Amino acid sequence: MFDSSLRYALTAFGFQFNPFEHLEASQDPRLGEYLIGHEALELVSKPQAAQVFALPGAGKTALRIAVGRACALAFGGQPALPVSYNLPELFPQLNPPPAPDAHTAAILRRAALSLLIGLSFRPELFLSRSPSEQNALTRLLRSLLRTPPLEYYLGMLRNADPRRLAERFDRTYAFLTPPAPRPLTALCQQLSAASTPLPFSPDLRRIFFEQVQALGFKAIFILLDGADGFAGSVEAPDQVAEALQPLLREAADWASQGWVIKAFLPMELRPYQSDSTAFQTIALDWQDDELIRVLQRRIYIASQGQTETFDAFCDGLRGIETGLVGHLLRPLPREAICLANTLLHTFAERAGRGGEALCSADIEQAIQRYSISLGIPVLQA
Amino acid sequence: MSAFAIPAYQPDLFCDRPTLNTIKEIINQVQSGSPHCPIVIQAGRGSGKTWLCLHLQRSELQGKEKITPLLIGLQQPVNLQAEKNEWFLSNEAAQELSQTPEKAATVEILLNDLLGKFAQDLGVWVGEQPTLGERSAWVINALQRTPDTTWVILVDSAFESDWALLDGLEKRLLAPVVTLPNVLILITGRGKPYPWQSPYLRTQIQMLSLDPLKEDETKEQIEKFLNKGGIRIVKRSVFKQSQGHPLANILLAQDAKINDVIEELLAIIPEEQERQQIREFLEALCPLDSFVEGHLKPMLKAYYEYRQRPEDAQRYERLGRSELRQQVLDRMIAHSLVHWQDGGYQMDPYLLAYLRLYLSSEENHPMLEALRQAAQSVYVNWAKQFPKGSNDERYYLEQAQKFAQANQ
Repeated sequence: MFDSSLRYALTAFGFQFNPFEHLEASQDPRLGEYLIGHEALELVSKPQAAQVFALPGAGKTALRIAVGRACALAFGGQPALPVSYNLPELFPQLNPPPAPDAHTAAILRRAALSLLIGLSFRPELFLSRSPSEQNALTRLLRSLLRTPPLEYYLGMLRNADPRRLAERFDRTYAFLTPPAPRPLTALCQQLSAASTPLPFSPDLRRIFFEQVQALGFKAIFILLDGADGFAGSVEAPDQVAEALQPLLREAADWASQGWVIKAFLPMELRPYQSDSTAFQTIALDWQDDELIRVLQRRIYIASQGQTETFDAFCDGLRGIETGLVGHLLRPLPREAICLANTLLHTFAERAGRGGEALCSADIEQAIQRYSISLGIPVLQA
Repeated sequence: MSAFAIPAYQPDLFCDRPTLNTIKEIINQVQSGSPHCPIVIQAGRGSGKTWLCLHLQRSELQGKEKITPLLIGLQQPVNLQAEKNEWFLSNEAAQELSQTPEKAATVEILLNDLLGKFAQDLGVWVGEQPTLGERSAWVINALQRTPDTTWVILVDSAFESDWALLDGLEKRLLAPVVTLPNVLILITGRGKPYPWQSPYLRTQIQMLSLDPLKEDETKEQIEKFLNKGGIRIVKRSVFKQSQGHPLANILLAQDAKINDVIEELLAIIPEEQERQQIREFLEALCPLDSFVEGHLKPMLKAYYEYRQRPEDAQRYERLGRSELRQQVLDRMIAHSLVHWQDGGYQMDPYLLAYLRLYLSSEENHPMLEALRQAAQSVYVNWAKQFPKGSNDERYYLEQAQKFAQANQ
């Protein structure tokens, strides 16, 4: 009943899918298409270390993914290699905090993985290098990918297309078109060549940057996220700050070698923010007109560009997104998406009993439900 | 299809546009080491987008030291074949792509052709039976490895092209090069803009307008066509009717009627019956500056009742909202004749102007009055749902009043 009425609503609006389904940016496969021109994106895309502070639901993960995907799309032609550095995934415990070398080792490993996955989508970038450059890159990847070893990833690439590898290890690349089998096979073959791994040392950072620079990259972006994913991080932000400090206080040193840290941090960490001279500090705030554009962009994508507002589905109602944004409990994209999703479900429920146009009663009811439920999907109750 | 000649692009026939100078300044800027974001020009059919791209490609940037233009024409220009560093999507290929349910294979063939031609033209083709990825890498590398050369990539008629093709073009060429400091991308199109994945192509752009020709420029255009265009010019003063629209200027100068101009603008719809039906929808809706789904039923009913076609009037009245959208709105949008803008669906501005002119003729005026009356009723009804004295009630009553006055 629920599914069929939602399907009816989507059909009534000419939507190919529900653009308000995912409240968590990292789960939304279409995030890249939804992006609006928020000034934070321009700021954070510059080759300068940045700290982005935001409330939950304000879009810091969305921004991190947007920067990463923009880099992935332009892999090889773009100034930066994107390195997703999700803290809880690599350091499940905060106590004791990771040592500086542990950050370096984890980032180098993530960078090697990003490079491998990127090259698996664009093998020609590797295959067009001279044999000596190919050997040097192979040796570097072998040195940094030890547990599991490089062979493990190459095995995955031989048996499936690179999207499987990306889905599992770095979703930044997962939306790209896979290459033809022949160059991918050639890449795997070249990377399988035996070579003696380099011993681990901080110097690997410099060597890695030189190698990716030779491939055309101008910088490496370390996209640090997930600091609010530690258990108890909200109550004990000082512990999270302590875990990050060994890395963040070295930001200038990393930047001098081409590694640019972009930290996407919860607002609770702002009092502990690092040296502001090394970082550009960005607070992710949202104005009403930007939130309206967030909703309208999603309608545009879901309707395949037919329209960008709920107004199109009404007989005479105007400014529906403006009205919705005016009722948000907090001016955040997640809240706006939640309310729009509630409206879609409210219409679905009512339209199932007849009536084809979105009407003011649907909007009033959706706002009421949203206010009461704070985002709990009301029709599932 | 048209009984009137539409000449192929020739450098001598091109009339200077202020936008051209702006683009040339931007190219100079890129050449002197200041990178520039992509430029986007969104304008209606016949406003000169394709000629602007061709003029940049074949005249302004041709032979310029350290500048290489690449032209990707996603609609076949009239009577022209692709030359070096140019690729045109043929009408047949475009039609095949629009009709095939499995687009991926067709897109791959087209991109292989496009990138293969550029790779050969640029002299970077090195292998045998290269994959699409290899062709893409060769072209991208050619741009990357020549930082002293300014590359101007002109993507013409993008927005009216198939989204699957644009997705492939973005991933295989545009996105990897858009941030290169020596690359400038110019995208033109009409209708709904394509939502590129890359923010560098979508949100970090500069929009430029392509304004109609002024009265003296219109005269100059007709003089040029009279002297070198090889067509029979009958009228030299057409500005009042054409409003400076380059395509209409040329047609009206050959003594075409407004109806002929409309037919030419709709010639992008290959199938005659489809073209005729869409024209009827457009005529029914043209009194409105913009419209929403709620306008479709009453306006079509009024139109077909006036035309004494009660079966059609009833047919559209019986349709549900979704069906009406699919059978009417979606078809106009599919041909990029209508797109959403500023709170409503809007027609191609020139087409709208000529349709209104057509309906204003003595013969058609009674129909225009009937349509205005229908629009007036719609707005009166919509006003009733809002509280007395509210902004919305006032707004809709003003709209109703506007149509009532027009009929007086």
